[in-house]
Amino acid sequence: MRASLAALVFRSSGARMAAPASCIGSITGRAEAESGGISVVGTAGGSPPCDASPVESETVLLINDDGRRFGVAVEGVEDVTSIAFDSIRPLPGMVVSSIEHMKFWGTALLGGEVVLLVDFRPPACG
Amino acid sequence: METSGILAEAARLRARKEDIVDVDEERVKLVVFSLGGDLFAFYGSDVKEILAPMRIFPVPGSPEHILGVINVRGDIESVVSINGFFGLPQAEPSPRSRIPIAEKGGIRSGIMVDGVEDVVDFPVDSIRPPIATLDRSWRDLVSGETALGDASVTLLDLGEILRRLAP
Repeated sequence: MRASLAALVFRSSGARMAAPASCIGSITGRAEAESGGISVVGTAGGSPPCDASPVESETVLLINDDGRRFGVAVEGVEDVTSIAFDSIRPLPGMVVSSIEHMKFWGTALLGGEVVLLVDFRPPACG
Repeated sequence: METSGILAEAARLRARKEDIVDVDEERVKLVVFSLGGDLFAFYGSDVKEILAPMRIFPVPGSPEHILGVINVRGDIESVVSINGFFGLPQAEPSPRSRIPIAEKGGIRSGIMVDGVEDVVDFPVDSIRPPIATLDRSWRDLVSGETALGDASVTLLDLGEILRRLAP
């Protein structure tokens, strides 16, 4: 059996991304998240959960990270899929060295498309 | 003819052949490409392959000169624009666009250009130092000048360009 990662695939900031399904508590609406006192951030610019850029999207991923709860606004959720480890590639050095607060830890190839693998953990905030 | 004569003649011909090789012009391969209507070149030894335009996947949060990443037979390569160095607007990819995959000084990336015009062996002697009147802002990025037909070709210092793009 091929080693793999169960990941939620979603679209955000105009790109296709994926995050480990285990760190996503649920998917909700923005109004619902905010009414529950959850701060909602985007994925453009800085690293989630650091990025406080204006959020237009109505779909929110609720992230659970060791008791910390926050929401990440996304443009759409696609599917939970299994990403084989051997389809995961590092980001090119040129990209890694150019982004101050790197929130992506790698890439995966899904159906020939490049998907950015997101790290929601606090260390990604730099 | 005696064998000693044959050997002497063979040695003379060999020496002559070596003489001919010695006077051959030293040549260097250049990848000549267009950018904003001008011709530029990289040393061919620094260009691993030249790709046709393909889907570029953006990386949110990256600087403007990083256009994104591409899937090259299962490997992920970055694609950058060097237009900003020369005061050119970001070019829109077209069917003529090409992405040379370049590597120098341990830094590797695809570079979006308007088109690859030719890959030519140039005589080394035809490459002159950069002209003194070159725009100051990009003088350090140029390692020489040559010509392709009647057109001037600016030979770029790929190592310096990649160093500036990957701080």
